[in-house]
Amino acid sequence: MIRGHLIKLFKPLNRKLLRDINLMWGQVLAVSLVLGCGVAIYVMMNGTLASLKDTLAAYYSRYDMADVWAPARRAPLQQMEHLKNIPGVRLAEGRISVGGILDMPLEAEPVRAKIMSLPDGRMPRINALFLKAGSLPERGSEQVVIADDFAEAHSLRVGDEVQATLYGVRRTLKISGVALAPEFIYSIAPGEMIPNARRYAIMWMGYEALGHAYNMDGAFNEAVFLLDRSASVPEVLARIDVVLDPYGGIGAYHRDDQLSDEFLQSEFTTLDTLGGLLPPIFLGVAAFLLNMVVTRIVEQEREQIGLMKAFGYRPSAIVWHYLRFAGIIVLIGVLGGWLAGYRMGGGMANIYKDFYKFPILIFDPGLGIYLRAAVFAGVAGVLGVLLAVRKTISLRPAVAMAPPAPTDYSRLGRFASKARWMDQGLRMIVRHIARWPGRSALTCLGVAMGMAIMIGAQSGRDAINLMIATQFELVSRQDLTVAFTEKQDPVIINELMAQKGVIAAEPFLAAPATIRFGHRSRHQGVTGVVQNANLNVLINQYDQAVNPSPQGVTLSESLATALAAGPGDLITLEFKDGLRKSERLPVMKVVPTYLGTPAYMDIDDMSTLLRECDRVSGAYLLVDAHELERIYGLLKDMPTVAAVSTNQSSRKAMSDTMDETMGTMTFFNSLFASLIAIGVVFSGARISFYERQREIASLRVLGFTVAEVNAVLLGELAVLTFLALPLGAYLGYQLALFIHTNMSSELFRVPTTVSNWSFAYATTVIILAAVVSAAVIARQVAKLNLVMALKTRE
Amino acid sequence: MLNSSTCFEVTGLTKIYGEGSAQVRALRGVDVTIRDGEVIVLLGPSGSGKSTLLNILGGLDTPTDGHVFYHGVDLTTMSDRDLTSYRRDNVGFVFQNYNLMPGLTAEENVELVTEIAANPLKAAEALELVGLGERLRHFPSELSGGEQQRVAIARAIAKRPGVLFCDEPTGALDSTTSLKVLRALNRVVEELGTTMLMVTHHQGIAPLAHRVLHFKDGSVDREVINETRARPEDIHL
Repeated sequence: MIRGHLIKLFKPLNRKLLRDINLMWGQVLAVSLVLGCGVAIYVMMNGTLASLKDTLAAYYSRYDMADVWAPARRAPLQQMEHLKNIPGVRLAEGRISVGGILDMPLEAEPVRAKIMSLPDGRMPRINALFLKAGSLPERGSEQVVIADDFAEAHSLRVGDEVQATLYGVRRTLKISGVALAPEFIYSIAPGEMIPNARRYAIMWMGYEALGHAYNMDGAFNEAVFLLDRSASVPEVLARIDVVLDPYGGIGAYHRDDQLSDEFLQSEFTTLDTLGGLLPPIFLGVAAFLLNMVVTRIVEQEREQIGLMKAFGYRPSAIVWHYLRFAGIIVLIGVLGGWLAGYRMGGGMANIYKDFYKFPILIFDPGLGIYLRAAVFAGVAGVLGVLLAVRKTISLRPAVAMAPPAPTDYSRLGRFASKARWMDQGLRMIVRHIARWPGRSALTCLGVAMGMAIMIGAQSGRDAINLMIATQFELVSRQDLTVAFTEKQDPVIINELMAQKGVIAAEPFLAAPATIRFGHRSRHQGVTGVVQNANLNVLINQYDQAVNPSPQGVTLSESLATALAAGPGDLITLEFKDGLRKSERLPVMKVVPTYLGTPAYMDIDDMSTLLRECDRVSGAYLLVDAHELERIYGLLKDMPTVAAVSTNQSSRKAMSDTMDETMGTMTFFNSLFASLIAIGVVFSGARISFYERQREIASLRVLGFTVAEVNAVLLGELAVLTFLALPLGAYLGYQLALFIHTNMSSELFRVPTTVSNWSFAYATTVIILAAVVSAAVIARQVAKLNLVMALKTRE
Repeated sequence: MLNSSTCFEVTGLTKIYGEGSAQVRALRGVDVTIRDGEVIVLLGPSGSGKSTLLNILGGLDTPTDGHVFYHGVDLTTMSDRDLTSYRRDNVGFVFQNYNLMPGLTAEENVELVTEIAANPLKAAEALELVGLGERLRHFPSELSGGEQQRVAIARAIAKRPGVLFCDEPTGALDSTTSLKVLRALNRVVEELGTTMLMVTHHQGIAPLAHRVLHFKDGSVDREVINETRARPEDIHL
């Protein structure tokens, strides 16, 4: 009653609008839901990205994240004066940065540590720490500040002690504080792909104590810089290199090339790509659906439109009426999408906050993102309506009011006479599809798009799984990678081989270098590997093992792309190690890799080149699983061993990390993609039912059973769904290809792969959606009031 | 001429739509008996209950109260499934607005029924009976209103139904076309001996019936028995 009174307050068209919505609330909700999904994804992804970027900028600025890093071998502190005087340098500090090994009670394996010096008695002016607990180390003491993630992974607190091997000497380090640092938001051990706080520790020690332990008193091996805003980065880098070259400088690099920042930027690129790509697709599908719904409503209301025109309503007023109808759908969708997007974005941001250890993170997408999402949705709605109303609005009132003539199937006459082999039902299905090829194609396309976005959303995880599988099953087949503190005589390999439990060992030689081709260059270590390797293997695009070509360099595909170099090109290798040789060598081979931009040489060629005959930097080991613990113990006690990494824990860390970040994102995307797909299928089926009520009623009156009528009505849904499946699979693969190409960076080359599981999942959701929709429609067919349906005009 | 057996026995038939103040009593305790082979015309103003009676007898609707026996079987106790079979096997319908399947030709529209009926006419035969033997392969969009209605009649009688219900079959047609349609119906009834109930507004059609039931406010107001049925050629519309 109250509703009745309220409704009278409105003008007639407004009343019609409210009643229409009341009548078609299921349809309205389905379209709103799809639209809301698009908006939510947009707000979530772009909001998360905007918040992360803002947070990162604030974090960097508050803790004076360096602009430039310049590693060297050993430079006297006096050289800092020269560095400070380089034009464009605002501030410079020298520090010691070294590797150590920790013996953690929770880990059987030796844990690697990167230890940096802190100026005694004060916070560094560049790359300051956010001290979460405790205080800086006391001057001269063997106290350390440890990174928060490591403290958490090992349940360490201020006052606890850790056993460490620093420069071959066992020491007990006391924890004075726990900190976060902008420079190590993403802290990845050298040679690893993913942060692993259990296996890799970042820590800081007073300069005096660390210098003493590493024989670096009065010296530094890394300078960090803050630059003036106006500074020319390439110029500053070149000048720094000139100063540090005599002291084993291996090339200054800008923040863009700093590992942690680079990883973050790569993550942002991923978010940016997905955020720029998925929402428009989602919104596009939503617009399509809205158009489909409005078109059919308008077609059903053509008589009423004629009547309104006959009464003297202007076409603009009628268009406005339907625009408002769409407007309400858009409004519900946008509000719902904003809310869901805000909630999920907040959730995502929190996941990233924990993952990156940001001291703070506020999820604030900014008004712009909300507005843009609303505008996208609004435009989708308006376009949908305009396209739908266009035809009917131009009809003369008398024509519009007359019932439309029976649909003309005569053009299909020839087909009709040839189609005698089909039964009536099938003939009706086929003719109806063929009579409305555009509509049938659009329905089919809508379902296919729904399926495609599910496949696209799922394929991220497929790509990661392939990367992990390739890396750990085909490329890195070793159990352990051992890095030595200094280059060693190859005899050490035999010594390792002689240990009980070591099944195989392969040496490698690694040297930092700058690789140049034309005007392009990259700071990239070169790895010398053995021929016919069994443990760390180079593979070609067919996943077959290949050897590093002698007399030249084998480049990873990503490095070749970055340098724009290919087989046959002469590239320059400037080694930053040993005799610092510079050599021009041909690119012999390009191999695909998913991670980083590695460069390989034959180990013998490389040692000849470096004049470091018969030296090795480390070894890959295959070991008996039963002897693993004993071998860990052994390696921990070897003074020559700087680091040990295990494939098993690397793989687990990588999977866990991907599950945490990518997994959540994939989950949301796939959820929304599924909702959209379901919305499209369901709406299509419902609309078809409403349009053909009269036909259905006629068949029922003629004595057709509910099942027989359903066979005709739902047969069409089945045929279109069936046709949509291969199309959806194809579009999904193309979408995955597009997403992955755009997500790839120098750090990761994301392979395009869609697992059978993803195809199966998407197919299943579509089929289930079709079956459920069919069940709902079948119920409605059974409940259809025959008398009423036959009275309604077509 | 007429068989003496009872086709429909209707007792106390009541139909109420809606509830409370919005309640409409479409039928108020109608009692009527219809014999096999009878042609009945139902006349009366809009809302007098004639279409409601037709819909209930045709198994399209169920009454609120009362009983309908078709050859002794009570329709009012039937399930939806049984009503579907009843329609399938015994009943033909002709509506004012034809309700043809636009996607099927004239012949195929008739075949819709012949495919599911036990002992049907051939589709072409049925169409021949209504004078459309030449237009088998035409789609509804290629036929005039009268032709479409005759296809609907052919479709309704092709199963040799026991009873044919026509709800304003000439309502949308001009007088010349209406006569063609009535001739077609008459021929069908005479050749097949089908019982026919026809709802109409048109007084002029009444002489075609054996009996005319005049409806008013949901009940039969009066009943007129024609001594002899007129032929369609003899009436004026």
